[in-house]
Amino acid sequence: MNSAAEAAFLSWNFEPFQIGAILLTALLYFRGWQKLNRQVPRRFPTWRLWSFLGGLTVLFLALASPLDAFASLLLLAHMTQHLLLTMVVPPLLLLGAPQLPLLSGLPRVVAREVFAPFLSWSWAHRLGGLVTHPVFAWLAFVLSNVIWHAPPLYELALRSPAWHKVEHLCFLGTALLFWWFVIQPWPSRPRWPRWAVIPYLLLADLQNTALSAFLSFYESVIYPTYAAAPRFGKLTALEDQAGAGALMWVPGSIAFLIPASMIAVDFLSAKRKPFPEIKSREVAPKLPPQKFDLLKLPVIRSKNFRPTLQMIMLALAALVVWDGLTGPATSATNLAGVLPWTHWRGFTVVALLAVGNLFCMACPFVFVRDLGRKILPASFHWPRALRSKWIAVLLVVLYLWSYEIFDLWDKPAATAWIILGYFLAAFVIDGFFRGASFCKYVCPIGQFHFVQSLVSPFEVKVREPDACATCKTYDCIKGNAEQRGCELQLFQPRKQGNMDCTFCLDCVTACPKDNVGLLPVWPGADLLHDNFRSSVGRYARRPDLAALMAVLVFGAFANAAGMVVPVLRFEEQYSAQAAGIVLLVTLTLLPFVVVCACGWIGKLLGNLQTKVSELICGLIPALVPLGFSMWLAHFLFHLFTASHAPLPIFQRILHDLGLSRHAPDWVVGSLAFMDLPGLELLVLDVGFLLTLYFLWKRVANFVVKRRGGLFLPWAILALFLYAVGVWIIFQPMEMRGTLLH
Amino acid sequence: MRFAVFFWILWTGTVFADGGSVLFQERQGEYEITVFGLPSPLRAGPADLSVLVQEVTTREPVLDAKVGLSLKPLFDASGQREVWTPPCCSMKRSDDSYEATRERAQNKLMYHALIPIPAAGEWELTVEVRHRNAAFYFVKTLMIAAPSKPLLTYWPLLVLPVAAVGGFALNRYLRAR
Repeated sequence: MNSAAEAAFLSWNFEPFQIGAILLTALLYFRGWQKLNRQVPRRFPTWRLWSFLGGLTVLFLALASPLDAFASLLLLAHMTQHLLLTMVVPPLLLLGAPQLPLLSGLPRVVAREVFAPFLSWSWAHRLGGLVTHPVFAWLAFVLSNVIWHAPPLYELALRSPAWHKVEHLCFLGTALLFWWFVIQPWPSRPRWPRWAVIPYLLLADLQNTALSAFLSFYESVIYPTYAAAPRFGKLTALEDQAGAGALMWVPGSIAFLIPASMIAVDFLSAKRKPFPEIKSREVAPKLPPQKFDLLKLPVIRSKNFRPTLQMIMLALAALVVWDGLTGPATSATNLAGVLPWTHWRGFTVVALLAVGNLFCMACPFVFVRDLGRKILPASFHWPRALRSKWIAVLLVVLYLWSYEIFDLWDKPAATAWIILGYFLAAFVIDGFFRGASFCKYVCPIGQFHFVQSLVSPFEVKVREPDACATCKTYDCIKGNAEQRGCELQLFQPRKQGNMDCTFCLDCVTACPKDNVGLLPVWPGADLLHDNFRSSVGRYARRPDLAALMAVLVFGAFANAAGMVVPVLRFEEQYSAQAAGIVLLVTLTLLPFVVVCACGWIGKLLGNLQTKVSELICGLIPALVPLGFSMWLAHFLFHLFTASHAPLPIFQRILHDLGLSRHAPDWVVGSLAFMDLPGLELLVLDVGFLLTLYFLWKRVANFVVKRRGGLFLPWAILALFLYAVGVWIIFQPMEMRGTLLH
Repeated sequence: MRFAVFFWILWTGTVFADGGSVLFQERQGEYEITVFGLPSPLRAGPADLSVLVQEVTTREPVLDAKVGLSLKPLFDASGQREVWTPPCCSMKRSDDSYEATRERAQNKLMYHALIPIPAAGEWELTVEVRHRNAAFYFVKTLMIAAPSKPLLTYWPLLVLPVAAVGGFALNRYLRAR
């Protein structure tokens, strides 16, 4: 950046939420437009698509370009931004006739279940009719324009980002209403005759002229912010104001006069062509929906994909163990203090959210498990009495408890020994017992992934169920000469959800009909019902699974609370033993008592005959999204704050090995950003709402009418956990994995 | 229908404004320095401070200066409880001085730093500018207001679940009809 002009041109504002919102809108419109263009091409020609996308592009330019960066310094820039928002963006968007494309772009179930009741609501129709009535729309547009240019309000918007946002919303919102009558996007019907648009536009131009003349000819600077702002070049604040007035006057008036004259010409023209009627044969046949399959991506499909991931993870695990045993004892300077506790856990939950159980897919313990099978007999059956999740529950509690009480995150050597112990356990268990006994019954990390992947958006499942109906070989579970089948005993045609699925893709390779894929599902769809699941059964009949889920939900909050300052002060105030007892109670007794109370009260309020245990086991799965959201919010915090922490550690290792002369630079930045708490809160919001929704749906498994009695105590429990989560987010938190504890 | 479209498009139009108010302007030799602050008025908690350095004669912005900012309380802050700040601001260095850079600024003509102000009261802001052979600093007193509560800052995200539950209840009612 050499010149000021170049620097000014680079002053963009890339807000992730804003860009995400614009991209999502563009995607929805495009999806809907594609469908409608096939069905009624004359109504939705290509120019509508370009118009809508053009409107979104101008919206992005208005909000993110240097115009925004200079809005508080130059009234000219601010006026240009407002003109784009009121005169350019709305007509372009409305010319895209966005109602039907946006609705068609939504997933069908969302459109039908969520939006359809509102869209057919008579009150919404009346309100919609009122706000798009020409008189209301004109008044709203004009008043918004006049009121926001009053110095006190304009100054307020310049001082406060929140009010600036409100100002822009008012401009864009009222402009959309104003231009609605002018464009009349299909299928809306005009309220007044077409000729009325001409006086409608001319009267608006009159107001625009008056306001811009006032700005142009006023003899002093109206807005104190611009009077105080530093000037660039020779442009004075008064000239800036006059220029802004001229901009509002001339291009603003043109924006009104062009459509007014077009309509006038059209109206006076002798041959006005009516819009051609749509003939039935124009409607194209519906195409069958194309199922997206992640395995169609060539890299994932490759046979080497999983072994490569596992090799990388194994190499990293070896490096962590080596550094943990031989490196420095300070956790933030040792790979064993940073990679497993901060980055691996963070990326795990992000992968679970974006795809699914990718870290079981890349599990580094697979190599030692296979080695154990070769060296040891691997012929015993796992004892029947232990074929449940109770051992895993115990290990999860032990892990969460010891992590906090022994500060495992701060002890690299202990971390290395734990990883070695894990390798040994995997080697011995799968060396003696058949199948994947370690994964299914023991591994606490695997159980964490199984439970959290219930809200993942992908699932290993059958592509065409009809193809399985004629299958006689059952290779997906039994395996064949070349490929073993599912070691976790998940029979694909009856498999539902991600519980117990390690994403090993053995079933995919074994299936002779290539009928198993990695298909998208609604996150949490498996939590809506309680049908029989292959090798898992019904959740309502699995107290061990319910206990595992409860421990992981309560553990999410206990684990996050363990690093906030008030809890650390409590630990300092009382003995470590007392803190250990409190944590143990929080992980075991508290969930037990609370869920029993919810089950019992729910049974009473709902006046049900069902066993309390069945109610508890049936409803605990609904809490999983809330628990997952707390894990995600917590781990994202550490991932962002300690994002750069491994870099100097690798520098140190290279320096220690004599491969680099540069000493490590321990002062590193981070990806932590201003709105990180907002992101955490949003994640928690989504988890809380999903939990409430799943509770409402799962309650229907026990009671059809008057669900409120059974729902209420569980909803209160979810609300309590949500409140705890909000409290945790707004507490000062230890920056584990960094040198800033 | 038009209602849904209307609100959808409005959602895409939300924007975080840049700027803040001019805190003070100072002329030092050939340079004019303007310091901007956000929120306006400044409150305890994270503060967005931007510095514009211009040449007095040409009003050209100076783009290759080194700008440092540091804050010192003019009262005994030891007994006061520190206000909550987002993690990005809590990762402060030990010396409480901050380098303002153009890379961090949205407006690339300015030098920007995000500075946590731990408590309300009178604070002394030192602005240090180095450009070519010139180096100067000046000190200004800032009155920092009480912090806004984090829950108030993030109120839309706390209202979201209430609105969603309300919307769901209305949805069920309409479907039942």
